[in-house]
Amino acid sequence: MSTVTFQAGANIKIDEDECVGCRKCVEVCPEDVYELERRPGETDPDREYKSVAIASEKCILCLSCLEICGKNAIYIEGKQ
Amino acid sequence: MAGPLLKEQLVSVKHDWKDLSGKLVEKLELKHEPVGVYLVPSVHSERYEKFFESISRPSGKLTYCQAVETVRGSTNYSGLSNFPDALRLEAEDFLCSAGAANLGLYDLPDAIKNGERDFLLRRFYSIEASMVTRDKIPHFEPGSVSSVVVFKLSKAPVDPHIILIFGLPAQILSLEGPYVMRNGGRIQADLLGTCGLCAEMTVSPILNRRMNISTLCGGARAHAFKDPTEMGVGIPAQEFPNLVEDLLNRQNIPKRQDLPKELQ
Repeated sequence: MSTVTFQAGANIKIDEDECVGCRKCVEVCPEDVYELERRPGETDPDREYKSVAIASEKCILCLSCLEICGKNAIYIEGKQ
Repeated sequence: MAGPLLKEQLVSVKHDWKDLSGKLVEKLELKHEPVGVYLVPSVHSERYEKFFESISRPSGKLTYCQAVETVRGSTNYSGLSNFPDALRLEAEDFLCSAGAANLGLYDLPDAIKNGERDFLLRRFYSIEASMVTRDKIPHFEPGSVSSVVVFKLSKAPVDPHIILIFGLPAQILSLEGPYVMRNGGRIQADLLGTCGLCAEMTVSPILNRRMNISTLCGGARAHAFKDPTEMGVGIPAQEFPNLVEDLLNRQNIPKRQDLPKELQ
């Protein structure tokens, strides 16, 4: 039996216009793929932060982020 | 010792799946026809894969439920220009690692296997509860399956292992009685609302050798099955012809002379 090993890593895109920096993806990701980053010059307190995929090579394709994102801002391999 | 299957054994289709599918769709007025699933075993996979090489693989990653949704003709997630009637998925084609692992293509990533992922997403009370729950999700041995072929049942290129039927609760209800008519008994559902299409509708009916009912799962509903009124059943394909026959027979009103003599 030839066992195929799972290969971590994915192409992750975040729609900056949709992301409100709610931090849900940061909290739910077991591999710490996401981090919040301050939007420079943003004056709206509800849009002060945005999520950034800082370690997409660690993504294990569990899709928790897609499931929890209330704004449908995250795309993995172009899909939601 | 059993050797590789002959090509004739692989390709000989034993049932008229198009006819059976059409009868079921017509009788239950299903919106979409059933989907057949064939799991290519890793043992002698090269022989099987030659047979399935004409079936397209998706042009990008997609989840198992998206593949099923695609071949049944609802939404095309395959990245191919036309709606494919069949898709062949290898390990690297899967967008959802849990689905691929449940289906036996590889082992679960550690953070899912040890319960951490579900603990964080589902808010389990403890990581132990999360781990036990994950461990109980029906799954095949890692590496036991080399690829998965999903297809419209009416276009079955081979006898499927499992047939997936989707419908409204009332349509699924119509299958329950006919399913137990032949041998009697009850239907015991093996479900949790996690890994609905892969574990509950595909793996569980194979491991338990009986039809299983699923309310699908959060992932399937988020990524593919957007109609919240739909649910599904997975049935071992060898039971499907009898199910259709019994469903159609049910409309015949029983006659007193059909009863055993002592009850007439």
